[in-house]
Amino acid sequence: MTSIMVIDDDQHLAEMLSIVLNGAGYEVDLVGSGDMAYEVFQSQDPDLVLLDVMLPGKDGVEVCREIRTTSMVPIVMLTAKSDTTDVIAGLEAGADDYMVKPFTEGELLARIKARLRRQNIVDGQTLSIGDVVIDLTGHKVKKNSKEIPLTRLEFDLLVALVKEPGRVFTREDLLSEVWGYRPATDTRLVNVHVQRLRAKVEDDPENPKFVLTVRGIGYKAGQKEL
Amino acid sequence: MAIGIRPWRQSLAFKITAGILLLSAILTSAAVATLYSQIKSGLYREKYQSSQNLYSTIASAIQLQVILFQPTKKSNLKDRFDSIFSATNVGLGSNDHEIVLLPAKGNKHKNFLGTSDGVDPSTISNNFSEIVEKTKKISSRNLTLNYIGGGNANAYAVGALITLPELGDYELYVVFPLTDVEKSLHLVRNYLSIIGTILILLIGLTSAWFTQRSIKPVREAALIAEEFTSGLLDRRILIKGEDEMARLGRAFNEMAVVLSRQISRLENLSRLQQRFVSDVSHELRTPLTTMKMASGVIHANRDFFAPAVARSAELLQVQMERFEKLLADLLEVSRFDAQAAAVDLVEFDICATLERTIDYVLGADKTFLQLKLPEGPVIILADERRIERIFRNLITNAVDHRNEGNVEITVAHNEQVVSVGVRDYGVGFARKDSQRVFERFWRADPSRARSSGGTGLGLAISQEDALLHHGKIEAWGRPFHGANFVLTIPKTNEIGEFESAIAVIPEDEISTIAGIKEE
Repeated sequence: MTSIMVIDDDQHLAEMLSIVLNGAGYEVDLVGSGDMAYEVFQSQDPDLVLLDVMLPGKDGVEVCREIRTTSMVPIVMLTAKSDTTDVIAGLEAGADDYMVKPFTEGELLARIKARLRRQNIVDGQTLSIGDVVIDLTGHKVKKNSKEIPLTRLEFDLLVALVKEPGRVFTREDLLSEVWGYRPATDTRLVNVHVQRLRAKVEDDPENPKFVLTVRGIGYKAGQKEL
Repeated sequence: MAIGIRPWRQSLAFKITAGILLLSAILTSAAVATLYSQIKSGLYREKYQSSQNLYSTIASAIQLQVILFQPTKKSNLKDRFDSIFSATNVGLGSNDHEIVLLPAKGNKHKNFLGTSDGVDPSTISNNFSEIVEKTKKISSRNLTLNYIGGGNANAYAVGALITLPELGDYELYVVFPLTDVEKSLHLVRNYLSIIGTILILLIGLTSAWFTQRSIKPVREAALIAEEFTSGLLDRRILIKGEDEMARLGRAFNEMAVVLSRQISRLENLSRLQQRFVSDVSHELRTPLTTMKMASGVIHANRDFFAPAVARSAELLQVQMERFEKLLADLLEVSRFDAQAAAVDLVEFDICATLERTIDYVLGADKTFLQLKLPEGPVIILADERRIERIFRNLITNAVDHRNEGNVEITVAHNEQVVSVGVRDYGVGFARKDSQRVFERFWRADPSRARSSGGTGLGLAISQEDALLHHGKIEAWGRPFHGANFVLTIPKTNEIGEFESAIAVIPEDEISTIAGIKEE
């Protein structure tokens, strides 16, 4: 059974979340404070984390960073503010996605499903770009035979771009293809994750070779002519 | 003369020093000139006096010679003349004066004339000799002393008519070269101009030093005032002594205290307001999420309830959504009021955003919509989320008020700006309300029920969003002719004056307006 860890200090919201998630067939672990979150995370090893940004004790951004030190589990932040700084801080700490309160149960379940989704992959299939080799079956990315730890979302983002080299993806294309839903435009989500992906796979993130920006439109995978 | 004008305009010390320098130059020159002319006239007066004296001496010597002359046998008139002429050779030295002894008019001894060595008799002009003969008195004048074989000098000549026994009337002139006087005057002039220049320089330096010194506190005060204006509110003027500068400093410091107190009070207020908005946002959103989800769960199970409860569940669901929208809009408005709205600039194609928003708002039901887009993308630098929100509000507004009429959406652009016009042929509004439509919670017809889920804040927020992009939304409307809203923003988010790329008065309405004088 798929388990979801909910880290939120608001008891009623946490309870409501577990009602909805249980109703959708997920197992739910509730944690009420940031200080205990990482311990519980390690013992439970959930498939996905719902993390409130504002927590007593350690805040959500910190918890997120802590989890990311050891795990590539999908993390969805819950935030009461849509202020840029808040959201960006969460994404930069390693969150895959965020939801701005208030949201509906439909939106919540759609996001969770998108984050847990596995692509249908033929066994043994690999993709490559430059010296980066993507093992689709094993969900692994190697560069010069060295494995690069990518979150599932970063992996999906890279695969989406590399599958069709040269195609220019708008940020909206990527939102629907990688994040799996079409929210009101929020290109920050794409921007931050592209930055993070570049930081991991590029030799020089300031001068990318694999994930290229197409000015005014979006991104594409490609080998820059040297 | 940019270099000359700049310090003159910008420096008080320069102005004062230049003024003092100019004035002292004028005064010194006047003083030196006066002194020089005094010395000059003194020197000449003395020279003239001594010349007159010497003339008398020579004249007396001649008279004496006339008496003493002992004619010999052989002596003739020529000898007589020569002995008389030699008697004129008295005085201080040969350079001191020159003698010219000429026979008077009507004297038959025209050849008996004498001059000192090298002196040309033409030195004495006819005019002068006429005066001497006519007045029969000692006359004097300034003239040019000519030497034989070239050369001349300014000189002072004294002349008179004398009568020599047997020889007749003669004009005796003594010519005094003024070379020595001129030499002295030249020297005096040089000394005076050197002294004058030094004096002016000294005055200039002193005044420059002094004004610099007295201007320094003014400069410092100006600098501090500038720094204060640029935002360093803790800057104060150091007060020394009790003079006018100290008073100015004290007054400035008092003003600075009052101003900075006022500014920090306002800043504090604004910060409080922002904090409040942020707190309300957080505190309200969490329970709202719970309520929304609870209402969602209830709504999803409404089929199991009695009809009244089921309907209540539906109403609850709808009103939850409306409440949420209202809350979101209210928070946005107060964020604008607190000037806490941040712009997240990216480059994007405004046409693609518009099309996406149309799909989002209208879904499949687009039969009443006419969309006119320019060829190719229109890339702009803006906050895409806000631009999309403007589109959403304008389109929703048009759809709500179209009254079964068509809606036209047009995009036009030029070098500077892009304009998006949203035109409907619905209920419209009165001409006088074209500004009021942007007011919060304003309704064209208060008696008319709000048909849609609009919050009444959509256009107000859109206008703020446009202003945030240094752009604007213009509105045009006529009752039952419909309305036209035109958003215009600069493509590169630059501040500036510009024209919309779409006229806010629709073309098909211009003829109507021309014909009828409205309201």
